[in-house]
Amino acid sequence: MSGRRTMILRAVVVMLVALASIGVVRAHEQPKEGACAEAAKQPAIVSARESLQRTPDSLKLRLGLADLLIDGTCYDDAVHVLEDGLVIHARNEELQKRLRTARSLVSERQFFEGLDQAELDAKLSRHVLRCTRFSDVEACDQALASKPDNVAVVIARGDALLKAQRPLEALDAYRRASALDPANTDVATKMTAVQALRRTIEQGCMSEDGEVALRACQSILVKGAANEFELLRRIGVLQQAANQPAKALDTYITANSLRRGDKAVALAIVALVDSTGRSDAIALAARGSSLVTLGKVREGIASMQQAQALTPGLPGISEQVAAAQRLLRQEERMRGSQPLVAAAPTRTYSNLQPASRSN
Amino acid sequence: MSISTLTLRALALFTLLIASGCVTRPPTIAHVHVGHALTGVHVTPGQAGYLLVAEERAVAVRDLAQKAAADTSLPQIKTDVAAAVAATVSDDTFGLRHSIVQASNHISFAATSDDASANIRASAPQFARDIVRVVERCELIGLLGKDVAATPNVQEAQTLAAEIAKLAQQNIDGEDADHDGLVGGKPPEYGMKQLRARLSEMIAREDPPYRTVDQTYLFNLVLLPNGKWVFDKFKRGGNIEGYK
Repeated sequence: MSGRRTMILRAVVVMLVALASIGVVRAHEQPKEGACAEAAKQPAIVSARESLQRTPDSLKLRLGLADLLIDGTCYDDAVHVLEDGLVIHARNEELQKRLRTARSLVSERQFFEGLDQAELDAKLSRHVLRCTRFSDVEACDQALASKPDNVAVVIARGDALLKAQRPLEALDAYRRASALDPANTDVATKMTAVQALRRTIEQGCMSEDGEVALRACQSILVKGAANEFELLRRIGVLQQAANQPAKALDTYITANSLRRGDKAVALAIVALVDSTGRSDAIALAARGSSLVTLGKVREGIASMQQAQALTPGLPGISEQVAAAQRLLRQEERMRGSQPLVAAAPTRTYSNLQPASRSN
Repeated sequence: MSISTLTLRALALFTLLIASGCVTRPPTIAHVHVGHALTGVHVTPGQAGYLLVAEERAVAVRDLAQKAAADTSLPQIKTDVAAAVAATVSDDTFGLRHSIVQASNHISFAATSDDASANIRASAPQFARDIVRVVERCELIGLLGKDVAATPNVQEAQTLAAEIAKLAQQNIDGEDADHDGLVGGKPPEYGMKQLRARLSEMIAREDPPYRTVDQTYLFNLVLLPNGKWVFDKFKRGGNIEGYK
């Protein structure tokens, strides 16, 4: 009986304590960040805070500070200021209303931050998945735009580039991965393999024929690389051989823009512009500079001037025309002085000073 | 019968009366919002609570995605994945993402109610953070679904469908992302099972206890222009716009 009594008593006590124990717990403080941290330093907020510290009973000052904090996106601070106010102005409806609003803003901000982050993370996961599983180079680039130092993605990008027959870029990716993670032995192995592959491909490019050689050359062609001109010239030759004159002309024009003065490239450009009938400014300018390379300066100037007339703003055309005109003048001067120079020795050595020669 | 026994009985009876009074009183506004997440809300299919709808959708997505992953014809894979994606990200038909976000919203509404307990106020922001991984998987399923719709390659579609099926399963059970041998051990690994558990724990901590909220209250909660939630005495079916 006494045990039962004790149990009932305990139950009653627990229930009564439970009924009486509903209290208010303040929301936990969160660190200030971004706009709020800046806003908290604003003179208006600093001043309002100081005023409230001096007169904590002032509801007007408290509400004013809360409004300033909310405007400055310091929602957590606003909640604390208003909750502190509840101790003094427990039944004030305006205070309660502001507190509801501030709490709602805190929840809303956290909620939307979480959802925005989820969306961004999902996009990144999608890019990583496509990069690693489908060797999608574009997805690799997008993933690295968000996480540039993610070694796994950098390596996956290298793999994707290799699969896309772009071994030089793959090598660059592996080099970057190696810099990020020097202890990674897989990367070192991949780099060695790519370098060997690159040599094989280079051989194929230069010694094979047809489509195989063309693909090999294109796979190791990298803008700005030391061998870019040589590869372009070789690609042009292969394209011509594969009866792709338009593509070959484009390739030669690019090669010519990299390095002027190559007679093989110049000959090909002149022949291909004529055979394809291209008469746009770029083709005519390339033909002009090629003719200059081949020693036909006057014809070259005419072609370049045609290009200039079609597209006056064509990059470098004015300078090219001016240079060619200078060259032409030099040649004309040379030609003008050539008979004298040519005759002089005859005159000098054969007529005027024959004795001196024999001396 | 001794006086002390009589006193005890009287006290017990008094306590029971108080307790029964609590039960028959209208629920708190906070608990009604919680009820919208757990029990029922008049806008969802079958007027089920948002969490229930989310759980049902999670299972439907998993089943559809598993079927898609086993399909061998590209059009069939695309059809099944499209259905899985709709059950995941459609707002109009209360897809998983929308339903779990709404469940979290209503827990947050509960927390901002004047009569919310400290327990609910503390738990709501945590729950909002806890749902993020499920939402993220939903977003990823949506993105991969677009890739399936766009691909002309059956193998790629199968790989993507398998990935979607894996994500869908994780949305139910959780995952072991950190390989510590514990599935759903941390919020970034949560699925619906863990989210349900967290809400059940929150409910268990409620004092006074949470009791299943009657439909009369669930479907007739309205938001007044002054920002206060009250029950509509005319029972006109609730002002769901108040949630927007």
